[in-house]
Amino acid sequence: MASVGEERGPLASEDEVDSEEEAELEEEHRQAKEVSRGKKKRKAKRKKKGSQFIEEEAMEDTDEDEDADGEGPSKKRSKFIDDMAAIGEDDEDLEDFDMEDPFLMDEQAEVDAVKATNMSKMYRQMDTRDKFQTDADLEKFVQERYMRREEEYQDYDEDAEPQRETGQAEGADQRALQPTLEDPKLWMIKVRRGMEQEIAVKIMQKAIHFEKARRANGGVGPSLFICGVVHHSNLKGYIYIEAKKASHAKQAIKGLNGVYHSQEEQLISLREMPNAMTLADSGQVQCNPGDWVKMRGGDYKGDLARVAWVSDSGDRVKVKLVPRLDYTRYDKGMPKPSNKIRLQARAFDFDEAKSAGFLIESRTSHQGLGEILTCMGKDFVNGYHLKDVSIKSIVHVKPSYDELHKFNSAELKANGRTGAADEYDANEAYEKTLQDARDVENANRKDLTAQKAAEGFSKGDVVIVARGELQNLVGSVDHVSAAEGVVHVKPDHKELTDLLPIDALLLEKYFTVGKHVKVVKGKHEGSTGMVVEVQDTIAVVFADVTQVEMRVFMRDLIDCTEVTHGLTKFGDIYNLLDLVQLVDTESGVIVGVEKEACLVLTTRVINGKPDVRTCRLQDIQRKIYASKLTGFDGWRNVVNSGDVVKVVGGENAGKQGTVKHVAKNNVLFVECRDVLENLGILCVKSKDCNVVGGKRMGDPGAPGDPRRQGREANVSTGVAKSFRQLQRESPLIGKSIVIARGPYKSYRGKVVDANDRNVRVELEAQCKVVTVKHAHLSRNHQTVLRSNYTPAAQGAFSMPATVQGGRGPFSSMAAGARTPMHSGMGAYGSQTPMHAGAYGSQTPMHHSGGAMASPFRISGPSQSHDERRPADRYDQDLLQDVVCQARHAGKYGKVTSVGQDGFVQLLLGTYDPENGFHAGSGMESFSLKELDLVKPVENAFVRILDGEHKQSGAQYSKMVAEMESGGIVRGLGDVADLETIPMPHLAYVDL
Amino acid sequence: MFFLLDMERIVTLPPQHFGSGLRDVLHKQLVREVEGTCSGKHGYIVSVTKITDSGKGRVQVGTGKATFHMKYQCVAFRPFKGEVLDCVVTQITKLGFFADAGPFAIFVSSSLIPDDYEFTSGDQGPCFTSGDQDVAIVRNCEVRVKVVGIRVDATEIFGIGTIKEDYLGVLGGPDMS
Repeated sequence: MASVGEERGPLASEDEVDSEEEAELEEEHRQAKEVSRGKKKRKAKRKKKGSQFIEEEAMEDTDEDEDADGEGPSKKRSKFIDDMAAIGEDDEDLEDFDMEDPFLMDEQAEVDAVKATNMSKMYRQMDTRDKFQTDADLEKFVQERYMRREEEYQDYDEDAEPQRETGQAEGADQRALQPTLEDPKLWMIKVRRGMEQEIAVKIMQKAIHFEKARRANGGVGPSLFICGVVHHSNLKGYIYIEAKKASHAKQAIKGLNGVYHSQEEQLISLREMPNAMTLADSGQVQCNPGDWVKMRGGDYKGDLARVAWVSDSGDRVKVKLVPRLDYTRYDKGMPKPSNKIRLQARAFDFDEAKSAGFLIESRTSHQGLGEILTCMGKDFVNGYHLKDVSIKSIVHVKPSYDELHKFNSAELKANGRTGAADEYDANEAYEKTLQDARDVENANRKDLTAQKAAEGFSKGDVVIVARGELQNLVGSVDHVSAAEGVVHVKPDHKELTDLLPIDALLLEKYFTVGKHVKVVKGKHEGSTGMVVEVQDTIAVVFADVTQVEMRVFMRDLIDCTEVTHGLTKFGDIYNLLDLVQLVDTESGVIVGVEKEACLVLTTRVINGKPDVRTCRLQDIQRKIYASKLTGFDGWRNVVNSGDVVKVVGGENAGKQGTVKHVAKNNVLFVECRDVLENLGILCVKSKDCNVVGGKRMGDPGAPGDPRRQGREANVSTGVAKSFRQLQRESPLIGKSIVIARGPYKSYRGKVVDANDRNVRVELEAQCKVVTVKHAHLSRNHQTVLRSNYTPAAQGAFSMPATVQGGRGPFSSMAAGARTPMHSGMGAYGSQTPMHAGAYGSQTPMHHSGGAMASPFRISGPSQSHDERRPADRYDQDLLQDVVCQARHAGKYGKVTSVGQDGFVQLLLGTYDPENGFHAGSGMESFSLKELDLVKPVENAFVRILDGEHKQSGAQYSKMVAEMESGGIVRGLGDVADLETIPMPHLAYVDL
Repeated sequence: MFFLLDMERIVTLPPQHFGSGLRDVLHKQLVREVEGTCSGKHGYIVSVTKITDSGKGRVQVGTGKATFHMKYQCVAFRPFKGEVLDCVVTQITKLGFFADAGPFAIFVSSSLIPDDYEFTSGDQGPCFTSGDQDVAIVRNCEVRVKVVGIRVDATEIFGIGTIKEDYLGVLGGPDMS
């Protein structure tokens, strides 16, 4: 920002003496408030319309008064400044026509010559605001006046355009305007940072006061002899005072707060004066009409815009944007909605605005922008919003094809609607976009050095020589010498067979239709596809995964022979092979990722084929952390994720692989090496699988009660395997916790890792991951962690109840069940070694099994003081496998079947609060009314029968620990979450 | 393009099949394992035509299974870039249409369809109709397509085709197929 300072002093031509007076004062006004004009503006000032100007000053005052309770004043002020500037230019404009020689006047003499005649007039003018009784009047006035000002200003600007470009004439003018020894000097005053403007205004007011007092005194009294005050927004902490003598400058700042009086004012040497007033071009972004920019903030943040016009000073620009308008919101003074919903960007709709009741005014732009429609206080050109912004709020970008296209189609759509052009034609938009894309490319190339260009090529790329004598020669890159900017090309030509060193700038990548390529930059980054069309610098690529066409710059493509799914991360949280919940209750595994969409193999089978869907981010509801879910295989063995299973039935019979995920409804996602589709992931029913090493316990297809048989006999051999995994995956990982003690007390964060001593917590408040001792966590969390990491706890996961049950009273039964069934010797053969293995792994647990529960029993609850839980209080459907006690008989047992008549079959067993339930043999039938549910012991499987989590009741969870507040349960349904559930809601389930 | 190839494969057979029907089972096993597979080198193996040598079985130590080194002759279908194929339209979208030539799926982008064809979604579903309305590309109609690009995956071959050249395009309506 520079001043419109009065370096030369005011002009005193006899016929204009009275306006001179005003001019000076107003000059001071302006200098104080004023900012930024280019150096070419530093012409002497003459005021023909001085009085009018002051009127405007007055207007501005009222304006600001209103601002105090209206919108932010800064915005309006800047508007004002522009208008001020406009007037300045306006004056210059006039000056060009009828000025004799303004530069020879002695400024001091001038000041003395000026008489007080017009002061009163000025202040009278200032009172014009009283005229406007209502806001509406005022608004109208302001609009009218400012609009006119602006146009005049714009008008001038256009005239000035050619002059600016012919630098020579301009240069001559400029030289004539250089300051001379006779001119006032420029003094630099150090002030408090941030107070520059305020101080400048104070000096202005001081000048007015002095002048007023002097006049009231009949021309006697002190006067400020300075010519101007300038503050420059780029120069923080200083203001410039223009004065003949240092003492004048001193006098001006005398007694002002915020000025560092201790520091001498510095004289700016004659040579430096122009520089001091010149905008530092280097520091500021150069902007030219037609540039592509992005908005930095505001409603249009991140939107592509095109510069339509740049102010002379280069700090204000008008950009064309695709409007984000709400045609209803501005209606009838409705308040802005507080929650910021981003409106959709689409072309300004004339008809819609009209039908919404807006007044639309039309005028012709003076800047050659065509017809401007004004509506809602905004300007629209060809459907774009013409927005006046500071250069600081935009940033130059290289637009991508899609952005360009969106931008261009907006205009064409708008034209189509208003009838200004023919029907909106997609091809037209494409062509325009192509043209723009070409321009962008060319502009790009201009900035490119050969070295940089060379870096863009790699061995094997097919290139075409775009320029030079070898134009249109196609070849493949042999090697690149990036340092020299040379690419060695093996020509694809009959006679030219030698390697040719070619300047990288002359080369372009060359893709023919049908090439398989990968996008390396931009929105579609990482996707692969085949080129279906080549248009100039753009290639249309048919994406492999999403099967849509994408238009990409050829420079962003590389040859790609292999099909890659590219990215492995989708959105922020989803990774390849993650189990996700889709919006439509379907769940599946991500088997392919592209930038915008991913492929999800769902649990469903359609027409005998696995259902692979293309899902966008919004189609995915959440990630499922289901590592704790288990399923049952064909032999009723428990299947955990990580188990090796063999597929024995269904489509994929014969395959073998590792269970990647266990989904709901007993569906497994199995990773098979020999399957090539869907990243080797198969979706199979768990009953079609056998856990490798699992025991064959019952014939699942047999009539009777297969479910029960399987469960009863189930020795969870599969479980043994996943100890290590469980140890690693603490249930706390991923949870948001509050640290209870220590240096990070009361910090909230997400647990990212846990071991037996510490947890790593990603703090929410600070962007870092810290290590926190277990001891610093809340007791609740400590319990959870300990249950996971103490050696005894390992045993915990082996479900002591079942393990023992399986081995003790059950082993005989298991053997019994096996005898009639071993039909294939293969099955038998495979069983034998495994069996031993399973035993082996169980043995150590057995020892820990008894001891393990005790350390974690914190609150020491016991069955006795727990309230009774009559079985008939709960849903009958959920009672399967639940351990109950017959109230009168005193017998324990687990429910094997629930009859309609309110009678249930119990498989009898033993129970004690330390070791839990051990199933024995023998069945008995009891009435539901007779039964109480048994309280679960720690580390037992539980089912939630009541409360808010009841819906997940059909699934098993595990009670990790028991607290006063209830049982801490992990794995609610398919989420590996820890939840505290009131004890009465938990039922002890024996698997 | 179709090829008659001589190929070899090691086939494993579990012991329960050892007996009089062994050769029969072996051949069936080979056919099951081989037919319908796809490799980048040979393309799709359409059919096993002849088993030239089924080899002597060797019993594997430990598993009891027998391995046979088999030699066979088969018909393979390997599409090539530049090849002209007759295929059946399976799906039509705004972007173009998909067509199958046997197991080989081809996508013909709208930019590779002659300019006078226009996408419409009429009463018989989406179709591309030529300017004079006499030719329409609809589902199940036969088209002659030239393959312009091929992507070979591990399990399938996918191609991009064009009908924007002479003698390419619709051969017959869906009724004729």
